[in-house]
Amino acid sequence: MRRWQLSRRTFLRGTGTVLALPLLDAMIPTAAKAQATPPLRFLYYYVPCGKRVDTWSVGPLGSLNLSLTLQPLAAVRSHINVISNLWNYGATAQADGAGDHARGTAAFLTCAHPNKSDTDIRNGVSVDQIIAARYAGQTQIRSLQLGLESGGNSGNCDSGYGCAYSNNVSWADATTPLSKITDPLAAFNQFVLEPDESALAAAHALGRRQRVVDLVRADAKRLETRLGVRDKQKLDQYMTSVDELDTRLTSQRSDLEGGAVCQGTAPVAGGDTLVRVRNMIDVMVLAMQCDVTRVITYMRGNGGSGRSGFAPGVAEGHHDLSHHEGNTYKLDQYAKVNTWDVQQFAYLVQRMAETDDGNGKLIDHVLAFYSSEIGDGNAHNHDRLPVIVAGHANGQVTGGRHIVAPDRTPIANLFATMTNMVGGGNRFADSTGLLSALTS
Amino acid sequence: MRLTLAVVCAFAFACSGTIGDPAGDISPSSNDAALCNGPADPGRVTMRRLSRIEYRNTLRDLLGDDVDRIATLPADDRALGFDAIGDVLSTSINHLTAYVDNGFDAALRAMARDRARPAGTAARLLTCTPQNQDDITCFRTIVHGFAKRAFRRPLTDIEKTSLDSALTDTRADGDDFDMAVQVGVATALSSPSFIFRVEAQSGAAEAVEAIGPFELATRLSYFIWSSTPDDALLAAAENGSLKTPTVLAAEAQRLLADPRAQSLVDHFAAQWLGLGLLADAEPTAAEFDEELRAAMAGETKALFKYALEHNVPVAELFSAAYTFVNGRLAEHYGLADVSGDQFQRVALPPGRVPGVLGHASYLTGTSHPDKTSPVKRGKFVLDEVLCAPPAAPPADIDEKAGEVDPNAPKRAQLAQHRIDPTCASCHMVMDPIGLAFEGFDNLGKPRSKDEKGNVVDVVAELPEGERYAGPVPLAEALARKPETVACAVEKIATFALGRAMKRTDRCSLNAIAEQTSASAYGVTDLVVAMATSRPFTSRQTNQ
Repeated sequence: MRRWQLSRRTFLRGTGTVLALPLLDAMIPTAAKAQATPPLRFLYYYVPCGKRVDTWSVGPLGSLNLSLTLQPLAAVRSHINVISNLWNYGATAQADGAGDHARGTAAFLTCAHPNKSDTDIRNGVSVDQIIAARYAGQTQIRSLQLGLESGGNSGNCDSGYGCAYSNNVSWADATTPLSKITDPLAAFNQFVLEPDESALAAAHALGRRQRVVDLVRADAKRLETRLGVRDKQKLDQYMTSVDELDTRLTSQRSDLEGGAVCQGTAPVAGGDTLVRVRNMIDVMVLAMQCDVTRVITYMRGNGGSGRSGFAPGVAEGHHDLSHHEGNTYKLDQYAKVNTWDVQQFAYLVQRMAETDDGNGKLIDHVLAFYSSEIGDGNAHNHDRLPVIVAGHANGQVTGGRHIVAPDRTPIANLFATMTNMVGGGNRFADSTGLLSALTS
Repeated sequence: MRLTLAVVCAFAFACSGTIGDPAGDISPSSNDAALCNGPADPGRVTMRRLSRIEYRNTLRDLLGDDVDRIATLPADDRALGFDAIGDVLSTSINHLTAYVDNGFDAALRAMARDRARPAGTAARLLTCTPQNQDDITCFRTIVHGFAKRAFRRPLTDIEKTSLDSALTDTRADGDDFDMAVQVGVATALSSPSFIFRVEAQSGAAEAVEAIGPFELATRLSYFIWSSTPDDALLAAAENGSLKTPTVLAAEAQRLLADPRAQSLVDHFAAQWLGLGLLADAEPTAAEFDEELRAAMAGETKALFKYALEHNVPVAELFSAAYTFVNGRLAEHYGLADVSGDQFQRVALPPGRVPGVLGHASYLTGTSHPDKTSPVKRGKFVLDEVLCAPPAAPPADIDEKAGEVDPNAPKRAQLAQHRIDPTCASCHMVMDPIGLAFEGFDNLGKPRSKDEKGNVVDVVAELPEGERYAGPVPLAEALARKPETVACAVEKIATFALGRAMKRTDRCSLNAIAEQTSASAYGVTDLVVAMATSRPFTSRQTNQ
């Protein structure tokens, strides 16, 4: 959190990968200290471009026999469930033609049907934000939006959909996408103190930031009366951000002054994709371990990402490979990318299984959702989505199962199951009920 | 060449799915003539947040900030090909956190630089030396002076009082004068008056109002510099002269002559002419590396820079019989006698396509990692050269696609696009244009056989009966089309205004073009005409 020495950080870089230091009681923020019911964290893990169907598909209902693509999960099999046959109707074309990647990414956590436009951006509220609202005021950070791709360089993202749809899975409301941090170091800086940093000095520095927040809030209020309707909507997003930062600073100061400090060593800036992925996952685990936030979204790439060169032995672009058209070579390369993504998720699950959060292991107090905007990459559809759920949600979810829902079960049923766990209602978007098999 | 209002693009006409797009694009319609009888509707721009590039440039110009802070901010969601469209630029806590942190850091570094500056040079921030830790007069000189430049307008009394509280409050917290300056600077750099390009309501009863002088100065500098106005431009706003069209035009010319106008090349032209596609391209060929990517981008930038500096007719971007290469690109193209990193003007070698459509940047940016894509190449021409974007493909595309022999010539493979009429309407335009460029591989190198060893066939036959023997006559014909000029004007306006062009903007866009007909729509003249145009200098009041 060496934010008042940002330049020093910029030049000296960090000392290694993100490394959570051994957790001493004093370091655990107050909120996370042994509670009757440990806080339940939710993590939403997005990967682009769907799955290769035949290597992903898991055998029949019941005990989980890991498919070829899912082999990397073998060591953490008891902590995960694979769910088949979930469907995102909002992502389907309906009358809107092509653009499945952007539409599927926008609908990924909203289950809404986004308005097809380059500039008139309208989507729905995402499930992570429903849950974040339930936890408001209980943690330093209301919700954390992370990703790996900083946004493509070309303008028209996908067949008439603006890039806001492809680049964001977290939506505060229909017109407010919550943009993500794509630099692990910047994410780390939001809440972690390095070993040589003084908690009281950090708290003092945050106090100065609160002075700034107070002054700019007054600026915004004066400005508000002088704006037109659409300008006011833009200023509203700003005001919401100001209030959220104010709340965050108050909470962080209070924890720091109380001696509850989340400590770690900073990640190296830059690095190849694998290093950045692992750093980002380490930052997520640290955020959950310290209970600075209970809601995280993470985008491994942007919607329909064409990136290449991250999975070993795959030089071709991911999106291009997903349209394999039955070509044997492309199918194999596509499967390698799928496997690589599952490996990274397995690393996350492994880290959560090892990490002590003050109430036991983090994996017991988490529900982590892994999926994509597309089911079958080649067919561009939104049914039979690849879905993995990790964690035991405070004893509510038993692992090691393959849950086979009826075909075209709304994925909103899974999200409603999540909101229901935090008293956020048993309905979400187009849900038709709860996915009771998960918790039975 | 004279532009007419209701021209219907021969290319785009066949791709009928785009006409009358409900999103409100400016596809021509027979009713346009009637629209232009009265004063043109200037439209209304949604308040624009600074893009990451604008933010970086602005900190550089305000403080001499030498840190590239782009990575600290979330990416800007693009639309309409650009990253500065008001409607889609959103703000979240991740932005605000970065603004505040960067504000403290930039102030700290600026103070250090000021204290280490050579004697006799002006301070960027520390414009006075405090007599003591509570020197409010000095604090005001520094912080009010800075905030005025950051807000791009004079401060109100209430804003001054508010900033003054940074000194008293910071001192009360036990911090020193320097820290109070940091708080003041961070406040200015996090304020909505800095982050947004605010254009406040005047409360006027009329339907259309002039943009205020400071707001106009801001529009001008972010258009041409992607950065904040300088002192001279703010002075022209303050003394009222900027509203005079001749002064405004002179200021636009002055800004264009400044090195900061390079942002029109790096930011506007790069986004328009496909350098974003090039940046995202991932060719698998071993000879492709970042140096080659940069050289490819450099060629297109050099052409646009030349056009901007010499007021070259805008259509010449697609017909120039010359180009610019450095050593690496010359080697790539097989040209002799050019070495080093500098780009030099050379005559086009025989067989190369004139203008941007002959550039490796276009030919690579519109290709797959391991092969060319005639569809993408054709689509680029419709999107960026003619502003006649094809309708999105239908959703059930995979069902419509038949069996294809992957080893057949691309022309035969693409013929399946013509089978289904919903596909054919656009592909019968896109595909032939793209196929004309098959004589260049996915890195833009000439070839006679495609990836599968088939002899390439570069004839372009368009649905309206136009037939071109190859990419050279096709590019020359494109450059002669009035739609190409109209499209360039539309791109400039979209970037300058940060909003989608509507059918009602057609009259203003035509007026901009007409104004530059003497130079055959020279690029420099177009920029100045844009800056003095009705939609740039006025707006609707009622939204």
